Amino acid sequence: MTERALQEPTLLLLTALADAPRHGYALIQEVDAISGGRVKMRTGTLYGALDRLLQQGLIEVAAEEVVDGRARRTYALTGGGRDLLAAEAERLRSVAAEAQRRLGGAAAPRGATA
Amino acid sequence: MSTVAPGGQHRTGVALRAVLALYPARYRRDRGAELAEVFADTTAGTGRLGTAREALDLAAYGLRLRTGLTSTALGGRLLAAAAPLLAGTLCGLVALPGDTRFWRVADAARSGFDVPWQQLPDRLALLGLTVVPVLLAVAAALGAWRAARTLAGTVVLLAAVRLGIRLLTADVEPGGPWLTEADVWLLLLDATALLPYLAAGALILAAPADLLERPGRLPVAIGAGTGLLVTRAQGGYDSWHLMDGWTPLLLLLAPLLLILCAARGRLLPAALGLAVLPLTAWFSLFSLWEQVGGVWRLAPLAAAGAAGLLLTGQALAARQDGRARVS
Repeated sequence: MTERALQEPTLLLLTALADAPRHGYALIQEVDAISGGRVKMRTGTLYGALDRLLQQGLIEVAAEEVVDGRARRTYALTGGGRDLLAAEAERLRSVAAEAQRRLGGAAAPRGATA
Repeated sequence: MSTVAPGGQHRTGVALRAVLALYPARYRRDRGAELAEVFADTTAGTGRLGTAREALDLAAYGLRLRTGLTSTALGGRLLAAAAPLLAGTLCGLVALPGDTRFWRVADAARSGFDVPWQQLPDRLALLGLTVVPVLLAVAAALGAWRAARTLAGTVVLLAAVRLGIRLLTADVEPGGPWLTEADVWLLLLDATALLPYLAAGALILAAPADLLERPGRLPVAIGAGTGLLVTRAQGGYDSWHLMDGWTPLLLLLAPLLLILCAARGRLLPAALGLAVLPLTAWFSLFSLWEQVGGVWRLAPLAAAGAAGLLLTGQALAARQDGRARVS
């Protein structure tokens, strides 16, 4: 869908939705957990990102319900969102594998023999 | 899920009601309850600072929705396209040898802290407005947008400081709070030099952060060149440049017409117009005010021009919508 790397908040949100549909607060908690506490998404930022992803067709509203008197809308990945996440994961995996390979094969800093 | 003390709950409730009022009514009806639940959960057990941060973030998104400056709205996308150009155009305001401002900057740099303390804030702000826009352009060119936004905020702050100092130190006629005509003229002339920084910095800050990700070397360079060009064309009121005639009108209308291209979905020319407008609008209006002979004579012309542009923009947007529906 896009050749550019995904921005981190987008990547984290799509990853948080990869295994199951989730509601707003659960997404904030998942993003926090996936990023190891590094990314703390606030409510306004979350809904800005969700509105954008909804408009781009990468996520959809999976359910709207009232649980214990609380309005809750659950979001899920669409097929396009899943494909995009898979492509991004593959891109990151290949970069990471290449980094590991080069680190493993690096005996001396480049230029030391020059 | 939430465990909030009664006092904290009341505080959260008040903050939330105030913040949700900023959202467009339709969005609030659709998402208000959901936003309130997530807000209650995220602020549960946090202190005042945490609640305030969360409320500010929620308010910021509400304002973006209200003003059409989200990353999916046309306004937001236009601002994001204009941001690197704006970062460049501010460099066009650089003081070059031969300018009156160049001598002021050189004098401020030479004297450093060796001036009466009353003059120090203005001198430092003047030096800041010489250096910070260059750093802002470099940050935007490198794609360091977090730094660029901080620097844009600094530019706004420095310009506001200088403008505030001008207002506070304006000569007031003895026995009355009224400014003389000459004072008003000088005050407005000073304002035309500072408002470009305020407006351009504010526009960069208003651009949606999630659309500012790429380095913008070419747009920054184009912006800097264009900024320099229009600043030279504008000249300013001194013994060399009087800038009367059609130039102010041209420098005001040309960017406005370019901005209208956004209604046809052409973001790049619209972004260029938006980047140039903060530099030219104020001095052009000032010059037209001078030529026409006062605010009351300029007001009908300005109102007619604004109405014409608004109607043209709406007509173009309606036509674009019609085409989009057909396709």
